[in-house]
Amino acid sequence: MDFSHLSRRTFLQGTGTTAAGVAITGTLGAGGIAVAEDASWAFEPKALDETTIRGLIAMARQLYPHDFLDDGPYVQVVAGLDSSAADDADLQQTLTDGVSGLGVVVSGDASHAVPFHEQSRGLQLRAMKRAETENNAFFEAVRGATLGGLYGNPEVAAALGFEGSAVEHGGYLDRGFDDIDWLPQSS
Amino acid sequence: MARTYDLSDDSVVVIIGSGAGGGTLGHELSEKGIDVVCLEAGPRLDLGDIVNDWGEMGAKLSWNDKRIGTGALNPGYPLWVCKTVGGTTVHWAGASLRFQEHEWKARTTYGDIAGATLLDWPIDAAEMDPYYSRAEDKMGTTGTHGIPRLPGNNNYKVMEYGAKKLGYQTVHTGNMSINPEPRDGRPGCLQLGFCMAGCAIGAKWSILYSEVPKAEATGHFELRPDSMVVRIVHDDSGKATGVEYLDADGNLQMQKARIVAVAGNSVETPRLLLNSASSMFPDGMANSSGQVGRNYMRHLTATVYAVMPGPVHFDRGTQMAGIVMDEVRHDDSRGFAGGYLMETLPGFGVAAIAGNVGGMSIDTPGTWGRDYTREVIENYRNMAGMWLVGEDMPQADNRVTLHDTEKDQYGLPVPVVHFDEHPNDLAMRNHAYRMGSAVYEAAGGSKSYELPPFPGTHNLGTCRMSANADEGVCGSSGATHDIPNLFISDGSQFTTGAAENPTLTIVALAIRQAELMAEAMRTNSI
Ligand SMILES: Cc1cc2nc3c(=O)[nH]c(=O)nc-3n(C[C@H](O)[C@H](O)[C@H](O)COP(=O)(O)OP(=O)(O)OC[C@H]3O[C@@H](n4cnc5c(N)ncnc54)[C@H](O)[C@@H]3O)c2cc1C
Ligand code: SF4
Repeated sequence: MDFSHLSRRTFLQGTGTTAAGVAITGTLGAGGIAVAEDASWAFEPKALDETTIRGLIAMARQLYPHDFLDDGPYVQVVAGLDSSAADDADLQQTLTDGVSGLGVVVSGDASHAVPFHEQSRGLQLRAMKRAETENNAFFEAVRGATLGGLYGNPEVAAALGFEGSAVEHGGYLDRGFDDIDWLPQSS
Repeated sequence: MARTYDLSDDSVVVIIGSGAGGGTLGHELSEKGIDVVCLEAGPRLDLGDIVNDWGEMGAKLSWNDKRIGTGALNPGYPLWVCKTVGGTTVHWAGASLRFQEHEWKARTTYGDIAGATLLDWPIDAAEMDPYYSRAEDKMGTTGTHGIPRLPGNNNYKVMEYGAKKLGYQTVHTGNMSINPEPRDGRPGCLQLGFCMAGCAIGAKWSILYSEVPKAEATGHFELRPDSMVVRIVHDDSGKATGVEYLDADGNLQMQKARIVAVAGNSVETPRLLLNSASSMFPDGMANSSGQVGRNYMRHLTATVYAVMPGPVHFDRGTQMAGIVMDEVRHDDSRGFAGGYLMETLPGFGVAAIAGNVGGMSIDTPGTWGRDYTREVIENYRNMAGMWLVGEDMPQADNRVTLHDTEKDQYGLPVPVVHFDEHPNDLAMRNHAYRMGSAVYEAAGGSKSYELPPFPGTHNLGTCRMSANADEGVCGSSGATHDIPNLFISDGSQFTTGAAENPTLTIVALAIRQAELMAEAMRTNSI
């Protein structure tokens, strides 16, 4: 796959909404969390605490990593989860407990608390595999939200080759519905 | 002009459901001057409501009321059908194929297959020929009546190339009820690629905008959307006299009728008959045979997605853009009875592919993580895909029943749909997977993924036609064996499923049923 035509910056700056319609605040507001160095990816949490949010962002990226993506689209997934958790106390609990469970590194008989978002990639994967079997409801809640939120994000989908709504562009009749060029001519 | 009828008007034909069967029957009857009230559980949308967004249209169009699947079915969502004016012809892809001659006589052709409840249809190919022709004309089916076939998109070209390399002969862009050029007041296809989310421009035939407005223009047709029929009622002689339904405000109404025709798709039709049990009919209406709900079929179905060496962009253009027909014949030497078709199928967006390929195919590096995104999701652009659809065997225990305790939002028992595969189904799918993957390998594909069936889109057979009253629910006109003024008018009538996508046959049967019903009304035999 060649994603080289997409500059990281231009790709990310276009992204303003998620499929779930969650607007990400453009600036760091009072109480907001700057999740990346770039303050434009901050959002105001409604339900979840900072450790949970940072943990979920790391988890979303580990679930469906793409080198051509910055944190932005993953942050949007988590903003969506945070919104859902604001109306759903059970979900809020599941997510908070789930991330705190990920923040445990097991080594031999001993367990050590290390916030999930500060763990190395390998330790994160270990914690996630453990959650997948031992806390599957949490794991699947985050995986489902990431699948829908990340790949339902029109910019992410477009980068992967799904071009989205076509009716306003007159369909593909004149836009390459039959433009395949690598296939030898069939008889 | 659309007209309205009184609830107490007992001269009308009441049709339950406005999909392929019910919508066609209603239009055909109204053209003959017969008064029709069509009750539809779903809302009435128009083209402006149809957008190019899978999630939004699934929520707007699909039947999302609770159903329970058991056996091989998806437990929480066994079927994919519509609850909207036009029924599943709003979601449908448009593939419109006739049965092959021998498929009307499955029991005779395939012989006695252990565990299968095969029967011959009480109709044959010669009798259906003129009705098929009228259905194709009505629907504007390509490759019939001088209508050219659609151009093939990239996904089709990949399949065609691989299929021809394997030596397949009958490969083309299908018989599709999608206008290649403007016809019958509808525009030509612009290759939008969202056919199964509803065609936003109306190039694809659908009851919603093709049949309903014409029926209304006759002045003999009233459509009542948001009207969920909960019960069919009868008199002391056992004749159907009307139906009870919940209107848009949730009030229970009773519409009288001379004839009641049930066309709710193959789960709701038997469910309604079962829910209409009375002291006279304790096992449900038209169920003296015990066959109501049995012999549920959903076609073979399977999907193969493959990663090709270059971009395919399989979302561009008609979704069912072409077909390979060589395996549709009946040929025992392949180790199974009946046949199957290969039809192109894209992925319904990245989120669906990302979830489905890992979740349904065994041959991936798990369902998440770096290896998965690299191997599967980052190859989205290069993916080609096909759907495999073939005849499945009717079995008595594959059936629709009512849940003992669980109720839906209308207070009706939730339907439980049970389906387990017959060995013939498995043997056919195995063959279909191997040949489908071989097509893509022949076209240079590097890896293919085999996916088991999606929730059932072709739901058939639960009130089947039979020559003998003890083997099925209705006779060859669709009138039930037990109650002459109660008709089955949708895919539930199917005696056997054949390999072909069913809608053309449902429409042709409805055209024929309208003729037989009108004649019976004229001669006062109903
Ligand atoms: C995604 C998809 C693609 C498809 N593609 C094709 C294709 O290419 N070719 C093909 O041949 N077939 C295709 N099909 C199948 C086809 O759409 C169905 O076989 C066909 O529409 C079934 O017709 P029907 O009359 O039996 O039921 P439907 O068309 O489903 O109509 C039933 C109607 O009855 C209503 N109803 C149910 N119960 C009640 C009640 N109690 N009271 C009032 N109303 C009620 C429902 O709301 C619905 O509107 C496809 C299906 C899907 C989902
Ligand atoms: S591809 Fe053609 S038929 Fe399908 S939605 Fe687009 S215009 Fe309609």
